[in-house]
Parts: sequence; structure tokens; C-alpha cells
Amino acid sequence: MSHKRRNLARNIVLALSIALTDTRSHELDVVLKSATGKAKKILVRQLSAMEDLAANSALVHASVQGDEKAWNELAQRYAWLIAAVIRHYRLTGADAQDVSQLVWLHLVEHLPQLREPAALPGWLVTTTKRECQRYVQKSRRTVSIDPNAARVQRLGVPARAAARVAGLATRVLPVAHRARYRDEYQSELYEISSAGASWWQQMMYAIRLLDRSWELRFELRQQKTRRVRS
Amino acid sequence: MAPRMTIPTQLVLRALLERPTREMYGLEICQAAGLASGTIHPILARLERLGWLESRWEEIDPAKEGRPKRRYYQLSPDGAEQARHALANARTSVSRLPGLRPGLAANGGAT
Repeated sequence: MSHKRRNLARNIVLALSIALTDTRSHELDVVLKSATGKAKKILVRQLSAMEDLAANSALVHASVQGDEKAWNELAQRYAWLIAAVIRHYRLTGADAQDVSQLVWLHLVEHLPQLREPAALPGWLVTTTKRECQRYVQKSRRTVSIDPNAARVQRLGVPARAAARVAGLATRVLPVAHRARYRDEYQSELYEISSAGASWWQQMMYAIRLLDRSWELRFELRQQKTRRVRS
Repeated sequence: MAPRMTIPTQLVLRALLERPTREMYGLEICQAAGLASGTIHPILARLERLGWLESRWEEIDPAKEGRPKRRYYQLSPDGAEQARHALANARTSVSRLPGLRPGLAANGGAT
């Protein structure tokens, strides 16, 4: 796993901890207390950067203030923009949905770096264009399978973005535990999506996993030291 | 040694103790405890580390069943005993906070 990805995961965890709880989450404080040396420095720096960001940027603050509603508002405000770009590439139905999901995922990832709220529409357009181009290229390469079979399967198939974020949540865990939790999360995600959870509900599930991943890492590391000692 | 009896920890233990002999997977425990999905893995890991909880993969063939294997959790006999004791001694007992569970359940994600 690359350093860049680890940073990304950390960024998202921090951003979302603040975003989802509106104040510093308890877990975050636990992590802060347990961190030492360089890790602590990085955490503190990122945390204060996040806090500055939350204070300075009215839009980001409003959109991440803490709940599904705020996100939905942001989605409503810009959904047409994303849809317009996607229409330009003549993607419809499930294809259009896939692309817009990817764009929203990118936004979640990009949020910690979003310093200028006014730049958001431009950023969304650029990102949507890039994802559309990628999607079109990819679908040219793949042979199309029976479309009905694909559609029937969809209910039990977790949202790709949620699966990706859930995968990301395992990246901060000790290597020995990653496979287990990856399988467990994917299994839970499957159950959730089979029960008819919306894209957003699946995403919230994955985000909560991410939000708890440092705490879980802490627990699993305790386990390791305990075993060595006994 | 007992884990820190935070409110979510108590809710999870109570959910597990309701039917101590039954195996449950993560989402079931979340629902029974009235906690949001995806929030209990650190608690489960802590309980497992203490030996209160045991877990195993469901023994099915995913290809045949058409779904992934579940991870099942169950209190160990010793763990059930200790959990009962710890709940009874918890300083801020969940039972003394009426109306907490529905509030948390409203945030529950998948049902």
C-alpha cells in the first residue's frame, strides 16, 4: 500500500470524523492521545487544517455539517450539473448512475483539499468529464453481456463506490487482519444492498466503517502485543 | 479485566445477552443493539480480544448460495457470565437512560 493512499485514508477519516459528528469525535481524541512523535504532528496539523477549512469555507461547512440532509442538499444543488455533463456524453440509466456515483466519491475524497468553495462547480465539471471519458473508453473495450441479466443482478450488488470506501477502511488496519475485515465488510455491504438500501445508505455504512477504522486498528494492535507477551 | 463500559458497549452486550446461545452476524447485532451499521467492529474486536466473544466464518459455499459468507459472533460461556456482571456494575447504566435506544436506532442505516 502506498504512502499516498494511507494519507488519503487518514484525510478522509479526519474530514468525516469532523463532518459526521460536527465536533471532534471521541475516537479522534483517542487516536490523538495514542499517537506519538511524527504521527501526532501530522494528525494535529491535519486536524487544525480541517478545522480552519470548516471555519473558513461556508459552503464546505454547510455541506459537511454533519448529516445526510446537508449532503443531500449539496447533491441537489449540483446534481443537474453532473447530469448535464453526463448527458453530453450520451450516457443514460445505469451508466449515468455509475459515473455520477464515482464523481460523488471523488468529492468525498477531495473535500479535505477543497479550499475555495467557488471552485466547486468547475471541479465537478472537470471531474465528471474525466470520468465520462474513462467510462466510454472502458465500455468500448468490454463485450456487452445480456442486459437483462445485468439488471436483475443489480439489487444484490453493492454500490461500487461504497465497496471502494469499505475497502479503503481496511487499509489502515494491521496487515494480518485486512483480509478478514475486507471479507466481513463486503459481506455486510451485500446484506445491506440486498435489503434494498439506497446508494447513499450504502455509502453512509462505508463512511461509518472508515470513521471507526482507527479505533479498530487500535484494538487490533492491542491484541497483537498481548499475544506476544503471553 | 472488563472493557470500558461505554454506552455502545453496553448496548452491544445487552443485545448479545438477549439470546446468548444464538450466533449473530455484525448487522444483526447492530440492529438488535439499536446502533448504526458499521459502528460496532471496534467493540466486537475488543470483546474478542478479552475472550468474551468468539467468531467464525459461516460454513457455506458462496458460489452455491449466491452470497458471501457471514462472520458470526457468539458470547463464550465465560464471556456471558462476565458480561452480565459488568452490565450490572456499570456506573452509567443504559437502563437508566430511557429513550436512548430509539434515538440511536433512527440513525440506523439499513434495515
